[in-house]
Amino acid sequence: MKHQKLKNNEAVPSGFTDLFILDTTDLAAGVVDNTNVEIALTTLKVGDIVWPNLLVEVKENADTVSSLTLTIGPHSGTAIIDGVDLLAAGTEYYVPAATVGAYPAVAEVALTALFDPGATDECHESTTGEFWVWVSISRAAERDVEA
Amino acid sequence: MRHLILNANEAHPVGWTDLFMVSHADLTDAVALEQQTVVLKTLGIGTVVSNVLLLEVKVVPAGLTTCVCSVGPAGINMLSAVDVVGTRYHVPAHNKGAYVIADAASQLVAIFKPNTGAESLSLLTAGEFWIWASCNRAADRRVEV
Repeated sequence: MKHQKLKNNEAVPSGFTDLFILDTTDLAAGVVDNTNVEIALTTLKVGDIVWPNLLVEVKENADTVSSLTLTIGPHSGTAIIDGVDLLAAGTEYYVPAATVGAYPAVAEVALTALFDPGATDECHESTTGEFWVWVSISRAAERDVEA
Repeated sequence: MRHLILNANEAHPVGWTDLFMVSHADLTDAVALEQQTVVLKTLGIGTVVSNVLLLEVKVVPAGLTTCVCSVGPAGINMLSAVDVVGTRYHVPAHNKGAYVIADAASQLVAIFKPNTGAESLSLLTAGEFWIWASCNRAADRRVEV
């Protein structure tokens, strides 16, 4: 997994602050049927806000497995992107549902990517797949202005 | 109340343009259970207030048992009576959209209200509230075409 914290000249005007790039190497730990692989993307500190301005871009679809979905959200918390299909060819862009609001972290928690394979699949069986996750995070530490 | 218009170096990528700092000293209403409206700024016609809004309790209020705050263009609560004593970070609910000032100038306001017994806002001895807002002004959208 690669994590780019976008600089001012790289940040998209729509407000993305972070880009996470996941690929099949991140799925290597998934060697048991029907067992999820959860990857910590970044640690959210108290006061960090994750906005529902988030995009999953499937650069390359997964293969081999019969099912593989991706959920983005705080560990054990409400999903921001919930169970999107990483196999469907031609379906390459996913944004949060209209029912999803911003997430303020009230305790330190990991923002995670959760890969969920089918009942008889292991995550690592996919030989292809590259998934870009664009996120907009307002970090409390960056809101310190000289007042 | 202090108001910073964020410059390019300070503006956050999520799009905040304004930071309002309200302190307990701004809240002087001495009538029990009465709310007080703090005018943050005037919103001209064509201004779009984004729902990327954050109320951050920098200093937890002291002197009141409970206190709630609503924020938004006048009459439009993007944040609706949120608890600023017990919770430090408040963002709009998912069903709160952006709001455009369409017909007549309005104001962006923060409304504070004590909520317990005979308490009034003037009892506050501490409290600081930072409101991060994104106001897209019509005047700032003028480009040469």
